[in-house]
Amino acid sequence: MATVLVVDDDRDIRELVAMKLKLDGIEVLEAANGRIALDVLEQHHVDLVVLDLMMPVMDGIEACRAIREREEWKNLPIIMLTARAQSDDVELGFGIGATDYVAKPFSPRELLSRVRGTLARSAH
Amino acid sequence: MEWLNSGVAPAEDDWMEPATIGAPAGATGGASLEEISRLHVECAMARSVSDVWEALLDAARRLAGAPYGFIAEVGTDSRGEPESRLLATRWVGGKDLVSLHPDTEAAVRAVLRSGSVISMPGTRDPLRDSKSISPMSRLLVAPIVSGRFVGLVGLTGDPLLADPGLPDMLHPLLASGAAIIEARGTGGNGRADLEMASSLIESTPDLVAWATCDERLRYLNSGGRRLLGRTEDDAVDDLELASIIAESHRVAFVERVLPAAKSSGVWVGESEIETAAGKTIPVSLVVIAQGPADSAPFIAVLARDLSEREEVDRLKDAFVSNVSHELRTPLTSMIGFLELIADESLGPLTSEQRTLVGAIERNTETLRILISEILDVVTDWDQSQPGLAEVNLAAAASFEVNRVAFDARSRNITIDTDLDAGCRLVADKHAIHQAIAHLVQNAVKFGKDGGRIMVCVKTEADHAVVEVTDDGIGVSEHETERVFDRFYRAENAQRLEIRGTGLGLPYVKRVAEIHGGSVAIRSKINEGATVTLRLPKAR
Repeated sequence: MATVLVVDDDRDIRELVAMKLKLDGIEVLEAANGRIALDVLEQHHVDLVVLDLMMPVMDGIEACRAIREREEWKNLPIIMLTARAQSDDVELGFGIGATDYVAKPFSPRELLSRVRGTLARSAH
Repeated sequence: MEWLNSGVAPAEDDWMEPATIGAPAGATGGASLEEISRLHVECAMARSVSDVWEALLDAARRLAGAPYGFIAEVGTDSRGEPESRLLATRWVGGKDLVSLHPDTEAAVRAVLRSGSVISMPGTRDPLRDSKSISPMSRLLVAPIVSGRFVGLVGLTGDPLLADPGLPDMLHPLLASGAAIIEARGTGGNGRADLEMASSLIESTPDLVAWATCDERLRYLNSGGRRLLGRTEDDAVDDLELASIIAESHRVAFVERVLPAAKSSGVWVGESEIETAAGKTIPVSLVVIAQGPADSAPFIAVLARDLSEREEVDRLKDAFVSNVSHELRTPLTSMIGFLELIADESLGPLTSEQRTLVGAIERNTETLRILISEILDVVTDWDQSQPGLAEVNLAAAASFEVNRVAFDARSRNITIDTDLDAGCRLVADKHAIHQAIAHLVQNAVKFGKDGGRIMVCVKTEADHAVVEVTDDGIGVSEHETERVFDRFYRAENAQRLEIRGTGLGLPYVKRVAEIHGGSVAIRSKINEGATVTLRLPKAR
């Protein structure tokens, strides 16, 4: 069973994503910011990270960079959640190693299909 | 002594090296200085060669001694060197002559190149075939500017020349050329206009500078000194014009801005200047070249500090980023949880509940569109640099069609697609998605219940085309241009109370323009509409 780490400072968003993924049989871990996410990654095996961009303490960009710096997490799939209308965040996200992105507001269905697609690709 | 290379080098023993005069030290007026300044203004106000000539002649008569004058037209030779073409010479009290002595010609070139007064011993006759005229004791050549004409007045055996301060006193007159050019346009009393123009130029916080054809700075107003961090005592004379431009923009300034100003007279744009301490300041820049294409004797530069505007832009960006985050996060929860309820993954709904959930879904969707359209408007992209990526148009269209599928189904609208899967282009992916989203959302919004929508993606020559056709309420033909204006709402849509912001199609138009493409609508009232978005595949 795949494990996904959901990182967002908004509790409702975390719950929403977790609910949708669990309904599809995916194990879900949660973190409220990038710093906590890194701690969770240290302690648990994670197959994919859903990472919000704007968060206090450590934002998504910083967290994404920190994850990519570690050899064992170099290929860990990361799906960015962006709230901006502009594409520069998306470009920035890809620039620092995000695997895919989903713009807020997203449909849980859409997010699930991205998660499934990314997991399937990374399994190869 | 660059001017010696012009092929008409005078004999060293006869001619002193032209002295470029430094900044004046508190020039004081005197009768003779006034005469020359008046001459300067008169020439600058002149509208033709003969006017310049008359002013010169008039001044020559008033001045003591035996001055002579000539008028040259400034141009550049094949190597781009400044070149003078003799238009008229006249010896006061003597006969008119048609050409200059080569030595004098060389002196004229030196004057044109340096833009300064030069003074030299004149043991030779300055005019080629005027054997009857006694040799001059000394020659003073002062350039007098009138648009593309440069009048030069040479003074011989003049008691004025006994005053060693005179060349220094003449210098500020040359530096006031920009003001004179300004005053020339206003007509009327030249001197008063000149003073008014000078005080205006000195009081503006903007940078006003003026340079000669050799692109060396001759004048910098106090606003410019403040911006560049130079004190009133700093000599800006002989500074290269390009040196006030920030290093990162200097090549562009020399290779593009100056040639553009010289060929069309004026260049307007944005650049950066560099202070004496090496700090760069963003500015809006106007470069004016006075004179015809191949000979610009004067270059005026105006620069306005834009630092404040950049700060406002930065704050606006931060604001948009925060607001969109704050608005979209709760909306994401609402839309998401609703979807979980509506697709019954948490348990079956009664038909009544399904109706109510459907109503909430439609309204949150309206809210989503409103927020996204408003944010699109307040967000201004850096138009020159959209985030480029390869976009599969068919995939984008199919994705956006799926997003409106729920709404379409609820109104029994069928959406047909004809998508060329090979239609790809390099574009701003997010913007393209948003544009297509607006087109299909409009088709559903303005389509009729039980109607049909056709979404087509195809390649036409070197363009990628997205075409969305509906059979709904349409717009009247006279509105097919206006629907692309921000906040414009078609009469039909207003009458039928269909909600919207009037920002969708303007957004699509902006996306089209940024990508070098176009968008058009074909429609008739109650006969539906076809919106065609065309984007070049390669740029």
